[in-house]
Amino acid sequence: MSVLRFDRVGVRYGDRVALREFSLDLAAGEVVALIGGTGSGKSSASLAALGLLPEGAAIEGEVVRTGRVAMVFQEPLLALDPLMRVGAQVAEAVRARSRASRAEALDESARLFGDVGLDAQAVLTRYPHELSGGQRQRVGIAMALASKPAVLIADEPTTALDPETTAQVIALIVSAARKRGMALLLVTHDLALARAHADRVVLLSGGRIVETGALPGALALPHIAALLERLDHVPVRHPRPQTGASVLSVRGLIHGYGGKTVLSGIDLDLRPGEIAGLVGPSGEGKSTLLRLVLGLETPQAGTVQIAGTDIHRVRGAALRDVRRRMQAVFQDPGASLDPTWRVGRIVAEPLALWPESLSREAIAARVATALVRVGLEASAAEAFPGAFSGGQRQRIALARALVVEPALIVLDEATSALDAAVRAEILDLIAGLADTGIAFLFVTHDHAMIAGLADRVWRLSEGRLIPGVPTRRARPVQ
Amino acid sequence: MMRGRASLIAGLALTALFVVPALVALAWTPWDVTAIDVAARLQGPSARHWLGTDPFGRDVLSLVMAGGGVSLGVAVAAIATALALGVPIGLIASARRGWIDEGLMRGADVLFAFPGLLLAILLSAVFGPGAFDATLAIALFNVPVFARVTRGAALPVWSAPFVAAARLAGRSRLTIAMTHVLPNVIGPLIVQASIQGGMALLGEAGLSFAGLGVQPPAPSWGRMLADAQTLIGSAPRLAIVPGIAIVTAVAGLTLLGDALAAHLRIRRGRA
Repeated sequence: MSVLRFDRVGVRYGDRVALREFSLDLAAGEVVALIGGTGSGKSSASLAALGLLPEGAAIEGEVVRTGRVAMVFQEPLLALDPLMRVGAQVAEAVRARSRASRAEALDESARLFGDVGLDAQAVLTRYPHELSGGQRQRVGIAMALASKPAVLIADEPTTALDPETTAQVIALIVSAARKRGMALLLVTHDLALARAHADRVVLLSGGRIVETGALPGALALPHIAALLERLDHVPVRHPRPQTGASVLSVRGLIHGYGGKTVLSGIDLDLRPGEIAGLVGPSGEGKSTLLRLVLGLETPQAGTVQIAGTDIHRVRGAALRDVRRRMQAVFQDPGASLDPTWRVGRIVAEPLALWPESLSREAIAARVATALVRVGLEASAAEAFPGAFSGGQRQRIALARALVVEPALIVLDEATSALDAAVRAEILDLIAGLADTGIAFLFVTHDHAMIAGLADRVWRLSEGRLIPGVPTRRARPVQ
Repeated sequence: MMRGRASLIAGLALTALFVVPALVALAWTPWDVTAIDVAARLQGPSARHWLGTDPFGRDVLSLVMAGGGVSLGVAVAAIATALALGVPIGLIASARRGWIDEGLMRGADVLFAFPGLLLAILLSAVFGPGAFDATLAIALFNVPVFARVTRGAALPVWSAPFVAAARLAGRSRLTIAMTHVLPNVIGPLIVQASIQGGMALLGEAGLSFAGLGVQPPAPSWGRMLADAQTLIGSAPRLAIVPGIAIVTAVAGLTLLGDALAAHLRIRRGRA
């Protein structure tokens, strides 16, 4: 029985066509994955199903809803009212759809909390900010279930979560849908999720359905197969002899905040051309370790040596010299480039660390070299960051790091905001740069990716480094 | 989007409606605004005097044009002074946080809590009433507004990764504040400045009306209103003309600010 049907639905924002001729029929109890990269139109489709398209969007065709449609949002913190206890919010959703009394609605929300694996007694009276990301998304799911929908739409429901929590939350959404006989439309850029949970998959690109089919057969369709290949993409790396002194040498690093110890004795070494991964769930101190390594914060004890100089014990010209040897690329390509600067100026910024003062021409030449090295045109220097896609911006961020010819580049979740195709390109680029002798310290949630890319992976747990996931290509030491 | 476009056009049109005559009045007015001609007092609109004359026989059109210039001058000087003081305070507070931030912002709160009119009375007691004390009072009143807007807009910028990248490039806090943070808060500041500009015009008119601002014989919309007060029964035109001028100017600047804010939100949304 069809519960949600799209009949040749088109969505336009002014002149831009976001979705065209989109037809899809969802039957009760079915799990359909709608996959596609940024700008593929998948969010427009889910918003059209909910009747939530923004003002100014023109819609064609028809969306036929036979039952209620509920949504699990991408960022639960934004979907929940910060000033209301979560139990009351879910109870409100219950009352919006039934004649339940206040007390009955609260009982119902306690039951829903149990269904989504939350301890109702402990969580009902909390405010959203007092919950973890995973707990908040569970509340979001309880709220969606409260209206007893026939269709559940989950639009990138785990983007804000780490991989362990992601797996749990997705499994929860899928099992809740199957148990209640609801149709589930799982909107995601992650083909791996689709492969694991969906009955059927629809691949969108540029607003059109490119391929669609039942799983597992659909995995053999050419575009989906190509996506899978990129998903499992492992960059080619050329082994090079391990020579030279440590680029990064951390000894006995201890740090904490307000009496709470975050790092309790970290030792690590990185040699030229080596890629090291650092994994672990959120809140285990990965960011703290990075900030200490980058010299953005001073440790309580221990040393961080970059090419033999302790970054926390030098000042002035010596500090600038250490900084020049180490650069960073951050997670969010949208926020890591100043939107008011031209790309040329952004990439040139670290040249302030260059030992000699450079002429305007010399700076322009270095910027052009760096841009070409990351696969961009030298003319990109003239444009503002807003003109580039996420992947291109991450290349610009890499060019900014490369312009001072560093020995070490720290990557802070540098590929997690990118879709699979772009991520594969950036990983190839990083692998190629490592072959030229640059060492990388890569902090990430993506175990599969780092296992393929890195020479070594550590896991940060209870303030200490322990050997993490085995790498696919362990390199002989020495 | 359409609404934003409409209020941008309306805002620009209304603003031009008082700015252009005010600028013209700097060089030329139909009649000398200080020339008193008692024989021609309280005339209605005519070909000679398009908006008639006031109790001293002065040309109302010339007065309203020149008065706009004075009001505009006071408003622009006040907002410029407030920006010059408020923006650095907000930037420093956002850059240093901690007790410096607390101190500056509590200081701003105190200034903010101080009624503007009381401040103006105090200043005119010190400096004597005039355009200077009106400008200073309006400026001081606006310092905390700009300090807060700057600080509020700057705080998220300081935690942006591009600021971390600038620190890795060895930039000092001062350099980062000037080159990264300031350009990123200029949008909201322009919006706020145009809205506060409207409020400043209103403030100047109010102070001059109360006798605390521009002094005769210098023309000003507030003074014109004050002069018209006793004649409201016999010559309502004398109050209506400057009244419409004030409403137009304030509405124009406020609409302009709103439209700029909407435009900025759209651009942010796209980025």
